[in-house]
Amino acid sequence: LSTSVKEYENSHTSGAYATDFLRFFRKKQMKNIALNQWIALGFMALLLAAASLDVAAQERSSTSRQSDLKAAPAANARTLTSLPLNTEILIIGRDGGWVRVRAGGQDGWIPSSNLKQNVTVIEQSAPTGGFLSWFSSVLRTDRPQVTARRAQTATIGIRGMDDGSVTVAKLNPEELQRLKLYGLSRNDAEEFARSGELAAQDIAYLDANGQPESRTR
Amino acid sequence: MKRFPRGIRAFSRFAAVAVVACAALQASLAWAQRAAAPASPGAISEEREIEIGEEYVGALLMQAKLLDNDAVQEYVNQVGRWLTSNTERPDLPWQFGVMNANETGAYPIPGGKVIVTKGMLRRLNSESELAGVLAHEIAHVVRKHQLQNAAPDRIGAINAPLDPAMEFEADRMALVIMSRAGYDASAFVAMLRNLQGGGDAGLQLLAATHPPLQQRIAQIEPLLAKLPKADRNKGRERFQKVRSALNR
Repeated sequence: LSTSVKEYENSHTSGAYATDFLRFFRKKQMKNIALNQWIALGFMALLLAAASLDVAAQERSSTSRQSDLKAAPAANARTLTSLPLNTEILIIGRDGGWVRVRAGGQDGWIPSSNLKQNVTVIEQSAPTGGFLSWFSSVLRTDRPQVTARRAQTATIGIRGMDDGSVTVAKLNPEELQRLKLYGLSRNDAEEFARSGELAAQDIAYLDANGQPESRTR
Repeated sequence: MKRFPRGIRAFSRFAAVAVVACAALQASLAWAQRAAAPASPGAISEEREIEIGEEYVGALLMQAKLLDNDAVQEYVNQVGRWLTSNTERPDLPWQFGVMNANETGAYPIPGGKVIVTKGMLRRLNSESELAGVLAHEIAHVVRKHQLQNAAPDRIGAINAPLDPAMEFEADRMALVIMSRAGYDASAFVAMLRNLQGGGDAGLQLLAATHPPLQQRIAQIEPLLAKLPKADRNKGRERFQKVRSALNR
């Protein structure tokens, strides 16, 4: 018994001492490790933030009429909210006759026909100033445009046939298929030319002064 | 200050590597993208050009369908395809379509398609004039005029009116393409006069997107002397057949 007590005492005291020492030692080291990790995390966050500050072309437009913002590009999809006429929107995607938009902090889909026909394409960097923006400009490869803001007006949809106004159209896959079926081969065309007495001749294009262009066919 | 649990430590090490790799990837992608960005139209692959065209024509044909007359469609394809065989891009998948619309219009489509309206066909007097209309649109496609916009991947850009200089170039090329294919180039000028004299109905689009007809005629008429003459009534019978099918 006495030996086991002694052993206990021995092990207890020495063990306790060892643990205390280790704890003490670790506490000291931990501060450094934790600090390093905080720095690493902070650096990563900075990298991420800088990388996401990409110059992207943004397409903006507004609603041409009151329009339901749908959760999916389908008429029977859940309605998230209703956008009034002239709501400013950011175009973030397209699917058939639907346009994915961001409006008032919400993402959703509206029929492309409910959009104004003029879409403004804005290429801009996100100017944050200071170190972050310098950092992002280092990461980015198209540096000269950091503060440049260029706006141009583009249109979606197809020009109206009657007056040049624009209407937004969906795609018509059946008609596209039909069009492809009508296509002829080069041989078909040559046969047509033979029977139609159309003989090919080698002639260079003419420039505005009537001189042959140096580029020949 | 608490020590991060082991899992987070391992993750943070992984994440640090991942983020650096991502940043490098993004930078190189941005560079590659810029390299691939179509600063010149030559940078767009032919495959992509055709794809853009199909998207565009699919939308165009939402406005009006193709005319339901195979004989008319075949005829326009014959004349059009023969013209394209005499250009620098004879092996594109060329397709021509007559759209069932009464307005006067013709549409070049990137990648080798051309759409003309029924209204346009009705204004024409001969196969040579039809060849003139088609050759002008073919020239736009051959020189990829629509892809020289700032953002050629956007359908709206394809749709934008072209630079007047491109219209004049397409007119000059049309004369030569017609001549190469055996048509008389003067029919092109006759066709423009014809459009000019035919009244304004249905001509708004042409007027909104092209230089004035008078200017176009003035620019190209002097060139006719440089090109060979040919019978302006080539294919008269087949043309009349198609014309009468349109009036039915």
